Amino acid sequence: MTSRVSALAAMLLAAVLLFRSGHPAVAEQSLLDTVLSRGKLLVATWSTAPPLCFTDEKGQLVGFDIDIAKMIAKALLGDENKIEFVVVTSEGRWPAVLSGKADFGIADTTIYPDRAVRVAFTRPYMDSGISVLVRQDSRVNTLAELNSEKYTLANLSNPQSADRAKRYLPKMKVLTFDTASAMFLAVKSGQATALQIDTPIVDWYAANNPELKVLPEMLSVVQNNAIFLKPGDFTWWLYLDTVVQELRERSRFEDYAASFRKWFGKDPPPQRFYLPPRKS
Amino acid sequence: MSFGWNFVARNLPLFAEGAIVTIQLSVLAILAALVWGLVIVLARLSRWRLLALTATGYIELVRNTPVLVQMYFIYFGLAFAGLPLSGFASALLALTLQNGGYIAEIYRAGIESISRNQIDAARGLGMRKLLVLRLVVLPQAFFRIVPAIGNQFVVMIKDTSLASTLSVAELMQAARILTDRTAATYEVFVTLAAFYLVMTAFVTLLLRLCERRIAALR
Repeated sequence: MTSRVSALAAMLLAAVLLFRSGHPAVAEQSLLDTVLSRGKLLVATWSTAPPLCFTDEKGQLVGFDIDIAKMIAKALLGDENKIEFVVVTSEGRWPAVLSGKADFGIADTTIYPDRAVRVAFTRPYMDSGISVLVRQDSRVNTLAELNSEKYTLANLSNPQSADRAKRYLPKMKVLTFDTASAMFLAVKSGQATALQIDTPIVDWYAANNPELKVLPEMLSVVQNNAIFLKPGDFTWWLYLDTVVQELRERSRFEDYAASFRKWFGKDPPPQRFYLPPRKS
Repeated sequence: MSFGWNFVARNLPLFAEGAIVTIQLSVLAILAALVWGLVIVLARLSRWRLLALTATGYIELVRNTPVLVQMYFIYFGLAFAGLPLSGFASALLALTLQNGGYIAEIYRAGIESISRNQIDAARGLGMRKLLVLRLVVLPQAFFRIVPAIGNQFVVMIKDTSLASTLSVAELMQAARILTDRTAATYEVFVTLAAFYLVMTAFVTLLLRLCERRIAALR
């Protein structure tokens, strides 16, 4: 009798121990799982920075950044329309992802070390630079000419713009706005002589407004735009980073290239140049 | 996460600089709107129909458009037309134009609340219209409108925050730039709200003292 009881007790103990080891400590759920169970992706973006993220005549959010976000939604949830955009202004980008209102942000955001202290960046999805857009009637052709007290520069509200203005165009008067479109309106209306923002945006504005032109000298030549997210969630960061890699260099390169050509009018950097071109 | 008191203390000078511009803009706008409102109400109540209709039309126009729209219109629109005004001037003009309309209506309510009997009695005593206005109507009307005017002042102080979109270096703009630099949204906006609260509370207190003084004089 005692041996049977003790055998039963031993079995029970073993079962309990086995089950206990089978249950891992409850880990905090990654955003990846949250998004999958929610079935919808929330993305912070701007709405007035053509050709990256802006609204067209029908009031729809369109642009290269928007396309990238939709490609991520398609990769994760199978449908590029399972996405909801949270429109923010320049300074609103950070609280949008840090507070959890958005799962990640894609908004013409350049990787800088000071930003990397508070948000996490994936690898870049786009090369960029900072160019200067000026009015034709100012008859300014170089940065040196532009750097004068007679002229006014329109800046975005981030500290990097202010630093660049202080470094390269210290004599100019400065106006600070919180959206690219307000800066553009300032230049177009004559409140400002020039503006500085990412090269694709400057090129777009110059192409669509004959009275504005791009200065040949860039204020910053080698920088990259990337997706930003709340730091600390390794699984989510790794997933997004992997998808960006696949889009930019590997299995989803065709979709990326098509969007790139559509918005920038040129081909993206070629991949696998040593292979013969595919006959399509 | 605890509230970063150190952060607030360190950045107080930045907020203070912005607050100074906010106060400048608010005071100028309030004074200008008080004067402009008087002009509008006199036009509104004048005997000439055309003038009265123009004034009524003006009041309807400014009341039914948001002040931000008016600010944008003046700042960018005038620049397109070749007369660029600075952000501060555009904001001041927009605030004056809109609140002048509101204040004109407040004046009108005060003036029309004075019983016709008093005016008839004064006219009966031989006083001219302007004298009636100066001695009988306006002093009493003024006392009655002080609460409503105080309310409008508070609204105007808060509306100056819209000038941040026109690159005016006031309180809201300082808060925005600080947020973009540090991402300390919570601390920045609580401090911002505190600043506005102090300013509006001060104005309300001032007006209450005013009311008490006037009551004592009567």
